[in-house]
Amino acid sequence: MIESQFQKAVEYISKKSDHLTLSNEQQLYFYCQFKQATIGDINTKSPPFYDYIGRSKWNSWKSLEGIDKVTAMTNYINYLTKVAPNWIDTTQTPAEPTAQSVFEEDDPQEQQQQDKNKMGPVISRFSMVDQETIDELNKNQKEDLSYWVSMNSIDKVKEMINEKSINERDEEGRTPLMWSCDRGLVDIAKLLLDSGSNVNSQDNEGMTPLHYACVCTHKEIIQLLLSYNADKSIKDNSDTLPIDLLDSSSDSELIKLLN
Amino acid sequence: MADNKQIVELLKKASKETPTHAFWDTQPVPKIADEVEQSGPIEFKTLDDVRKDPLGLPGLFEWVEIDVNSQTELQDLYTLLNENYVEDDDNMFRFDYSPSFLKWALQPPHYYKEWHIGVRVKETKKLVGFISAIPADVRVEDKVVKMVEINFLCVHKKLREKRLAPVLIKEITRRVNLKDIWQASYTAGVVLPRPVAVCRYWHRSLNPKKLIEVGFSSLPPKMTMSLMIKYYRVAEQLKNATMRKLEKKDCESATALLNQYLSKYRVAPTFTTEEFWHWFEPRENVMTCYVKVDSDNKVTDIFSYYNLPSSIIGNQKHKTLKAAFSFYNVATTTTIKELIDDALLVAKKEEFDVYNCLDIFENDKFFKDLKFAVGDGNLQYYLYNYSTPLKHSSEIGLVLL
Repeated sequence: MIESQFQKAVEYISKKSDHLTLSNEQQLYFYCQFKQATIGDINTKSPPFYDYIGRSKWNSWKSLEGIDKVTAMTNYINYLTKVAPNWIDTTQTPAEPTAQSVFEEDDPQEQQQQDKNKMGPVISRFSMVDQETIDELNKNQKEDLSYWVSMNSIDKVKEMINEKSINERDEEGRTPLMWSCDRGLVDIAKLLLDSGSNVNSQDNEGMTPLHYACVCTHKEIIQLLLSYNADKSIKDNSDTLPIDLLDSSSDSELIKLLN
Repeated sequence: MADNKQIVELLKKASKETPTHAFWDTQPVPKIADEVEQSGPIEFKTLDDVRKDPLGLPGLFEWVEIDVNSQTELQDLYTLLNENYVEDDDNMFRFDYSPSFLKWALQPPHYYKEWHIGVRVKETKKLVGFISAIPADVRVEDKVVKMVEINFLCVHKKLREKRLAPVLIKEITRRVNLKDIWQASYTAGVVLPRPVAVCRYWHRSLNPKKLIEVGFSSLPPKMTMSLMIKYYRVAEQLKNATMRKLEKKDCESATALLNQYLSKYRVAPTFTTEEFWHWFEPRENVMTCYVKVDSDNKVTDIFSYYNLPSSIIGNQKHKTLKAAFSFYNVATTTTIKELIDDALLVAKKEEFDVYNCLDIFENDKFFKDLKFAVGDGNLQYYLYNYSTPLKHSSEIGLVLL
């Protein structure tokens, strides 16, 4: 039965952390097929635009409108088989066979409803940036190289890299490399460095890519920048060295690297 | 926050959108649309009306009492909750109450072991359901009501379709009734018949980088993480330099101070000194409580929060989100704002990722100044078998774990 196979696939995914790593796109694919398979057509309002995780999830689900549940379940199972061909073997040796036989198959939709009817506390999440600030930011949003770096979109970044864009500054004087250091995007930072980005440029506040990496304690980025001969003695406009920006709980290895 | 009329309208709307409350309609709780003007019990029963034997369970299951002082039983309970308790809407986080937290939460003075109700599979003895009650005196308007707080209702994910939850609720009600107690308080993220108050969580980021990495919060494009990290840095020095951990010798004056403070709220507990010490005694990874005392060694200010982490489901880098939840705070020689600022500093030192706080008490006084952001989750407060007019969240002085 497709439902029981689907249920097993869902279980496999939910316990996956030990034996399966999924990219964001893969997670999104499972997410939207799951929603379509268990709930059907999208029944929630679009999240606010600043919640881009929420938005991308919502959009992915929305794109499946009209697809029936069995198809969505099939998609889910087939995709899992593609990314983890052996998943079915893992689920066929349940840890607690006796308990397993006691339980009947779930109706996923019912499970969904039951979940929502629960007493007890609630997990709440939030956006760190208020709407006003976001509106202000969006007014002047240019989809330039820095924008695509900040969105972690490596394909777009590759497409847009050229001699001019590589060191182009935004209104705060930040280069695309600074954005990748701020976000902790090692692959993009390396790509930008290899494409000729200036490793020691300073923004309007005097911060270098290394300052950005240090504020955010992105260890791999710090190591990367130093291997590209980043100058750790440059001070920003408030007379601060990159090392002074490290979180007080940073490990000694990092401190040694920057001394 | 909207006024009461608007809230009632919202509740009516919400109740139309959710399926009929087949179970709650049979319980002594007001209907969503009821206009309630006076406070008091809804139905009166006596011990003679209470059935003496437990409710029936499907043949495969059996009732058990969970002894949280037994390592193995505590572990069973921890595992059940850790794998099956409350998750967020996107199933990214699940509350992870620690074993030491559970021992603390379930064993206040005068608790009853028979109110820690478990359901096990007969054959395998696997724990698949739980519900608990603890005794509490809660004042509603001007009357102190002897009641219980219901918490940790949890049914194994694989059994959700078996409608076990209503049976657990009925069984705990029966056992509480057998002790001649007829009222209860509880909370829920959903709208049931019928909330006493609609409250909302606010969050103060302490570790923005991690919150973003795990998807607990988000960062808009072209907003730097560096700015967020600098913005959310906390002070290095306490505003109230003499604040220190609560000690046993503080109990008497601290209890008096807290009870006095709580008297201004319309729904609030009252504590005996013994209960106070149970709930506020500093416990590693469970309860943090600091006080400030005057020259006579009398407590003048208190802040407290509890440690309730969440498991992060399927994240490679981070397994746990460490959250501090604001408990009871009283400021008399300092402002509530400076007091909570100190709580944030201590929470940061204790390596919490986020400090969570409901908009109950006078908490909305400090949200803006201390950089709290509004959350996406509402929490409703409920009373069982007691009707009272709808309250504004700032009239609530009760925290349920």
